[in-house]
Amino acid sequence: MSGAASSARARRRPAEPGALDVITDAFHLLRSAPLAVLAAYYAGAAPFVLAFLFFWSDMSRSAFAARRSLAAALGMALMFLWMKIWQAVFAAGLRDLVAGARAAWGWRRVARLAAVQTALQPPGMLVIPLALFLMAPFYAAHAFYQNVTALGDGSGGDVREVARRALRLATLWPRQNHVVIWLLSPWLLCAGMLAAFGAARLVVSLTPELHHMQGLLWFAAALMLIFLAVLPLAPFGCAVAANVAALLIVAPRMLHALLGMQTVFTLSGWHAVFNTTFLMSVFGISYLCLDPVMKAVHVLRCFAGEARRTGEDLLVELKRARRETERKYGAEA
Amino acid sequence: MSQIATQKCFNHAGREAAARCPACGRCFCRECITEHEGRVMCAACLRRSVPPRGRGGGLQALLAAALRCAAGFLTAWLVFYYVAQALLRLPSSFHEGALWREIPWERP
Repeated sequence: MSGAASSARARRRPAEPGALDVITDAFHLLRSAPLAVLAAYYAGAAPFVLAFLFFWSDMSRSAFAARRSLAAALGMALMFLWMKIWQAVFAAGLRDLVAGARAAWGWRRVARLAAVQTALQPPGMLVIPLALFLMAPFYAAHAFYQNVTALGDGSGGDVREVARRALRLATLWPRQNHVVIWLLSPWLLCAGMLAAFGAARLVVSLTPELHHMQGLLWFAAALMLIFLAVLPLAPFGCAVAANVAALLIVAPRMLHALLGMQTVFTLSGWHAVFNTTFLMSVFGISYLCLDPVMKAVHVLRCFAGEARRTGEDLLVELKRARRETERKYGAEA
Repeated sequence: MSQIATQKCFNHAGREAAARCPACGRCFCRECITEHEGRVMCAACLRRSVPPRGRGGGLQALLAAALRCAAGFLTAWLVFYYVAQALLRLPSSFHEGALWREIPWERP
């Protein structure tokens, strides 16, 4: 009886779109996006990542860092908001592509976008790590802040309205959301890298033989350890990070071998690699590669989720069909 | 489509339904349903979807938005300040990776 009832419920429930399908669509959307849309993303994210690397390096090494920590934090807060505003502009560009209509930009819309992002995004820096630590509500918390980027483009609704819509869509299609996070989320990659950094210390402490293996062998063993620890947490992110790390390690040596150029990397040897700034550089560049795909996925999820009630996807299809018909009969005439 | 043909208007029991509102899911006759921004909607849902104008005071709304922005900005500032404090407290050997090469029981 209960089996029959559950199968009837399953039949009634609309099918949840697959995670791989939405990721494929996101890649296609990014490939078809004009250069200006992608430039909007990197106009915000690239300066933030550079500023964060400088902040990290300065706070972890400079003898006078304590004196300027308050001013440095103020600068980072401004850079964070700058990035979030440009990410919302990027998401608006992607949404225009999906909807097939271009929403006009004006000062009023820009002010509304900035207000929504400034009010809603900063608490995410506390909520998302906390949710990741507690595990259970992480998918919803992560989706909520991604939805705020996708929906808070200033085209409609104030802070409360955007928060309400983002919250409603955050719990939509949880299975798809979990797989998307597992494959694309930079947060899991960051958590994995930090966990591996600590775990490597523990393993080296417990196996003193590693301590005596100087040079390349010791480095390779620790690197493999980090890779294996992070791999199940974020397989795609790990592949991206491994490529970035390989590029950062190999490129200075290639420059030295082919052109005779000396850089900090070639002068410092493996010490340039085994420090937290190098890890953060790998993470920062990986973030710049992964995050646009994550944003595109959430633009598509929000569009599909809202279209279930508004029927906007049908209107887009009708518009496309009308355009194709006009083109066909126009060509024949 | 076959379901809508047998439905009556939610407001007028004697009239046949012409469309279903996508927001509330109820059926309405031609008179009760309207088109707004390319979508058919009932009057009640349309009223809810359009933000009210000239009510609540523009200054009050502006002040509330400014307070929300200030709270958001202060949160970001505080988070980065505490990140800076955490980085300052970590020993240099941690940042340089030298911590890994020290074995606790061999430390003098």
